[in-house]
Amino acid sequence: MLGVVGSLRSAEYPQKHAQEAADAIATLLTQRRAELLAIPSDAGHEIVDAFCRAISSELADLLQVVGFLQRSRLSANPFEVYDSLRRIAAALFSKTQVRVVLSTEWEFSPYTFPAASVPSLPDYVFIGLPASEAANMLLVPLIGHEMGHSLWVSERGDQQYDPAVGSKLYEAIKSRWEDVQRLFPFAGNISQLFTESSGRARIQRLASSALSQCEEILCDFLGLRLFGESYLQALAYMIAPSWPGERPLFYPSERQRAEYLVDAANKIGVSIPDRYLERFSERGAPPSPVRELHYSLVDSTAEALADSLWTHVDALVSAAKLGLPTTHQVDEIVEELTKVVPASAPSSLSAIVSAGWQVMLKQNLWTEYPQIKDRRGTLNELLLKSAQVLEINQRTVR
Amino acid sequence: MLSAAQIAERLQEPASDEPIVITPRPNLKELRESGAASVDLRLGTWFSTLVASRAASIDVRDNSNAIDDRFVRTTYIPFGQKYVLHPHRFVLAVTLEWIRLPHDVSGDVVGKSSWGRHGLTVATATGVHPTFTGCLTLELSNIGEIPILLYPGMRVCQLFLHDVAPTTGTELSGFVGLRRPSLGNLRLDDFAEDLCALP
Repeated sequence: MLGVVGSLRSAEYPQKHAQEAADAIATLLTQRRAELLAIPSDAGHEIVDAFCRAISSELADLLQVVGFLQRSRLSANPFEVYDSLRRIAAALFSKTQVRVVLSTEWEFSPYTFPAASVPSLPDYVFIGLPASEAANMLLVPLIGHEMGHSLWVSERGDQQYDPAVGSKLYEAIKSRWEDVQRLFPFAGNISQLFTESSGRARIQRLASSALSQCEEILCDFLGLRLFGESYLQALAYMIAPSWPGERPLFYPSERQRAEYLVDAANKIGVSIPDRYLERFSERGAPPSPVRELHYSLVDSTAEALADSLWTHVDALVSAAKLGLPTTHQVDEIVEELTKVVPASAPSSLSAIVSAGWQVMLKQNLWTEYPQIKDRRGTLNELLLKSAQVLEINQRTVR
Repeated sequence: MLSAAQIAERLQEPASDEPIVITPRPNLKELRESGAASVDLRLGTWFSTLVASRAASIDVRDNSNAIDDRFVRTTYIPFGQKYVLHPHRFVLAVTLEWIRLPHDVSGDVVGKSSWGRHGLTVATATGVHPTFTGCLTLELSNIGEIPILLYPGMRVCQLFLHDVAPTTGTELSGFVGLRRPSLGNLRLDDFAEDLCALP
């Protein structure tokens, strides 16, 4: 471990907050070692064991972060977007001063250790991008979803929405009480299901799953509210039509997620890609009536709260003064990208990515330039450069 | 050769189908008033070095052993941090600016004399062809005796631009759309192959 400490401190990190996290971990490990050595030789086994257990647990948490930080140095990371994401996070989490680290993960989808999930580094949000597409600018909007998990933590979503979930789940069970009685044996009445400990134990998993669905919906709403149509495109690229097999109860179906997003997009005038919902399909029917009932109760509970979740996200993002780009702002960038030059005066990361998706979907893009063999690669270069131009313009405002 | 004032004028022609594009755009007032015949370019954030321990040699006749991305270590240096170029070391860098030239303009990249006097040489392959679009790869060498700290964003070279007879069509030059240093391809042409072939 001492070697790890040394390599952590001496490594160069292109992201400021990665360097700070590495320093913090190195300091912590050094401190823990000193504490271990300071245990008196006559201390009882129980004390030594308890201390070692606590440190082992802490190490287990930290080691995954160490690997994450090491991968944050890889040149495949989209370093050019880091400054903008840091600014978005600073605006969004103004109360907690969250620090952001981007890295790559060998996962299909973006991944996060949300704020407070690593107890020793409570202020850090670690966002892992799929290693195979880490520098794909068109997927940057999905980072908005991952930031949503930290927002959920910072807003104490579990506590805030728990009563509402209970209330909506009650209504859902009431509306299917006959099925519940038949498939979900419980001797008491519906109120006892929620008030007696044996009843609560039975519905706890449903309530917990509904709460998790609420978190996922909130995350999608944040992605949409920060990145507009480009979030819709990126999400479809990543998850449409649907995963095979039975979905976990704690996730809305891919189709449901798309429907929630379309409803929200309509509220704020975000354009919806043509035939968007058709790109998502439902998975097969649940394998049993009991499972169907579970899905129905959890889904309808989360659905009943979708409007509240949207209102919550919309208010937070508005307060953070993170607006969506105007059509004009996006069109200007589209025009420049079409001429194979980066944006000269982008208004936001969202504007850049939105323009990127529009250009990406253009028929006959750059056909007049046969030298461009890899259109998607060239577009990505232009988008990353545009993100850097945004950083430069923001740093040099006088 | 275009004067700095003419370059500034051409940079301000967004309505034109083919303006000169330099992004981020230089300060036009400063450019006009410079009285120069070039525009300064700045150092970008990407650096590449060849990994000597993995490459036996550079042999343009042996395609199986071509020096490509496998032998290159690419590093991102954010604004505010530095890259230390030690004496007698060579690194590929890139301009901060993305350049696009129209069909009737070509350019030459030349190091800044003030840097040259301190041992930093910039670019040995300096031609920028009409219709080029992308960031310019710079070959930086420290031929002095003292390490030089390179900061992204600092002025590092100058671009001279010339009017040329326009090329035909809308084709772009060979190097298109790169924001990081590029090695380019090294290979013998048929003429050289014929000369090298054993009788």
